[in-house]
Amino acid sequence: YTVDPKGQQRIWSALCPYHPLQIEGLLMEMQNPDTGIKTHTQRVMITNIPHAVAGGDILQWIIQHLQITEEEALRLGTMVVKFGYIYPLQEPKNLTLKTDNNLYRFQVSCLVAKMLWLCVTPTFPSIYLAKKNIKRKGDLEEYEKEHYNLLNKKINYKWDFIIMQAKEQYKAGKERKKADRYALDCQERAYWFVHRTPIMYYRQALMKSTVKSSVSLEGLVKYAQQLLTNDPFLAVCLPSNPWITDDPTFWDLNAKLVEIPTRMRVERWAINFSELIRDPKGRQNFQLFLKKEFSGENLSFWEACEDLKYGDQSKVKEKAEEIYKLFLAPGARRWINIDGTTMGITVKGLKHPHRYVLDAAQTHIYMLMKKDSYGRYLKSPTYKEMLDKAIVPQQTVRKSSNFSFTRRQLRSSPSPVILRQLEEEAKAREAATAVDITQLCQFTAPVPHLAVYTGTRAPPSPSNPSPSCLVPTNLPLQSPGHVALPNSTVCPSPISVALESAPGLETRWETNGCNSSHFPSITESTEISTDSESGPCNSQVPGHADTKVPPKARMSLSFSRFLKRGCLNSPVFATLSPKCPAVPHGKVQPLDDLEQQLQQTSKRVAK
Amino acid sequence: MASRAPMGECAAAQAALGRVTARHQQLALLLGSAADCAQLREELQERGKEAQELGMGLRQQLEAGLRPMPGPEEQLELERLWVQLLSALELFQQDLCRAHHLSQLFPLQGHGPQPLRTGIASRGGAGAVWSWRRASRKGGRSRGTEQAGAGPGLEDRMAQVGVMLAEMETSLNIPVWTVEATEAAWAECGSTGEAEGTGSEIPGGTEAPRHCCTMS
Repeated sequence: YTVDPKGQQRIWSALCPYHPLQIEGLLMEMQNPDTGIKTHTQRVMITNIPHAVAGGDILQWIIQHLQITEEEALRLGTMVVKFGYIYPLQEPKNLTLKTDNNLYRFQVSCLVAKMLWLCVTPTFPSIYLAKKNIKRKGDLEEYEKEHYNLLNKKINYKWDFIIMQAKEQYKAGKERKKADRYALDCQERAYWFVHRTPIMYYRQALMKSTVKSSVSLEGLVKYAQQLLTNDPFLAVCLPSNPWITDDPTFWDLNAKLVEIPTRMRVERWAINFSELIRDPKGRQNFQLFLKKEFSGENLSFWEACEDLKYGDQSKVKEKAEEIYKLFLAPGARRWINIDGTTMGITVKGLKHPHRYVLDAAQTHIYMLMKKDSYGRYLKSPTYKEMLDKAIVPQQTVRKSSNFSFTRRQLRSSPSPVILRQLEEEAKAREAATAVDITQLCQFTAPVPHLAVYTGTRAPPSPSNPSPSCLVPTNLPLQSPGHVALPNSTVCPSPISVALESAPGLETRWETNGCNSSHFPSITESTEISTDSESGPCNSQVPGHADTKVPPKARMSLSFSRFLKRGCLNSPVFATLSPKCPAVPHGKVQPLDDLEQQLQQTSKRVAK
Repeated sequence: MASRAPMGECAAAQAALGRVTARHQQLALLLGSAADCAQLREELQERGKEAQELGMGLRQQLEAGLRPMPGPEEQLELERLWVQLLSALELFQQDLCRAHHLSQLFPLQGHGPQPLRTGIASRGGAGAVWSWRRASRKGGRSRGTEQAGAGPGLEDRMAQVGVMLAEMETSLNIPVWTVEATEAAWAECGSTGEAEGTGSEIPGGTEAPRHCCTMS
């Protein structure tokens, strides 16, 4: 089938000028009493109904009006019928354009902004089906019966109204002149035939489990009660509520991946599994435990799925492939144990990957972790140690000197935009320092490249302390990214780097001002996605951090404070968002600079 | 203070509302067709006004009934009627929306497009397709036939009904999903308005045999 490009063009230009709506314009032309298609009267028994057009006439008209070939005209005509703009009278279910004397009629609803018409809510098809039931005493098509039942379940609360309205509409219709009634009925029937909803839609809607409202309300109340003590506004906030006292310690202590979390936070992980898994710090601790049980790949896989769902969607295909190679393929390096059926569904779905393609597998693994590992975790030394270590801040009293009645600009919690940028930059830096720089452009790199992180890489130069933050001194490296968080080694945050490099900046350090917040993200990213490795690919080498910091000394003071706080994410932003977003413009700081700065700052920060 | 209307009255008002909205819808279907004319639009306005007034009245009655907590049975019934009222008003509003759109696309005066040729023939006068109440019309045809019938009337009504719906949804705390249908599914199959006649004279089914439709 070849398309005449000129003919195509003519079709489109013909459609556009008449009416803002395109195809409707053509149809209006068809209806023109002078220049449109010749109409006939349809004779049904003894009734005459006007405005019928013959299929052959439609075809000829299109050919002449648009100056296109018969083949194209036939295609266009059939499309017009399939979409319901014109409907067949003799064979209502045959939505094609027949080029003989078969009769058609125009559908009013399609001529005038379809979106306004009957398909808006389930009420409309319900009334139609109920009317049909009345008329034909329940003799409906199979798919109509199914629809009816589904709709009846779905909007049962409206059903009395629907039946009432159907009866009224039916009555009102009967009072028409026969010909009009027939025409309108045909039109309605044709409309619903074209717009029959795929049954799957309703089936899926119904398959969602429904819960009694009383039960769900109880659940909500229980949830609120349980977490009341964690709410900084409704309960005592330790050390103090930053929104009131303007003391950001609370945010600092509850940063996303703070070194030592607060006790309240750690206790929260024991409430239920979802509380654990939605807290990045909780996940981190849980991963520690899982590795001891040699099931770390489960959580890693789960996180990879989250990234697929919520991360950069332009890389869905690549990500899905990498995940498959790493976790699902036979003999995969971090093979996860899911049942055959789920694996089958997943592999099948991966032929056409999209963000939810791994949902089934992810759910399976989630439930596995929840039902199996979680219980043991809560009893494990890993968790208990964290609980013991967790801090309970002293409540501080608001200093009256800070209080003033004048409108002061209160400090805000760290901006998520900035935080994200800093995270990504830190990740890129780590990725850059950890990988051989000449081996860039690993965007399509298959799994083998990840061997670079398995510890088989060349040992880092001793003068560069940064990889030492990555490589744990006491834990074995099983595979990339199974890097325990360095409890002892504190590596400088990128903020410190930024601060160091910018001239004229104060670099004040408090003991809790620096943490290894970004490294877990990096370790995850190294093992999951090669996207972050692509960061170095598009590198713009010299210190981007420099460019971020304003040279003006006047601004630098507040900015440095802001940046410092900025390295610690507020718990407010702790969500299920991916730990390893793609780094679109990863910037790499040259190793020399980095190592210098790291040396300086790691001396300062003692832990 | 509005006294509680007896249950029967509310139910009757609901039924009346259903009738009027059904009529309104049937009229709206004809806009833009060959049967469209000033009288049609006038009739449409009338029905719309009637529906809106019925709706408002019923709303007030139900609110009066539900505000001081009624007995459990009564409450159930009133809530049911409330949900029905909401559904009716939603549908009515959607009809108004369509009617408004159509009447704008096909203004009776001025240079609008040709009326749609969808099988409705134009017939005026006493046999007009749109007049249901030719016998019982009060006051004759004294209304001005000059007005286009569309435009501000419909638009305003649409907005007013919208406001009413919003207010209703927030005024009384009735979870709509708790109402259950009183009739079983498929129950309407046994009912007809009046007798259907001897089958249908016109094969209205989907299997309209070919030989019935011929050109003339």
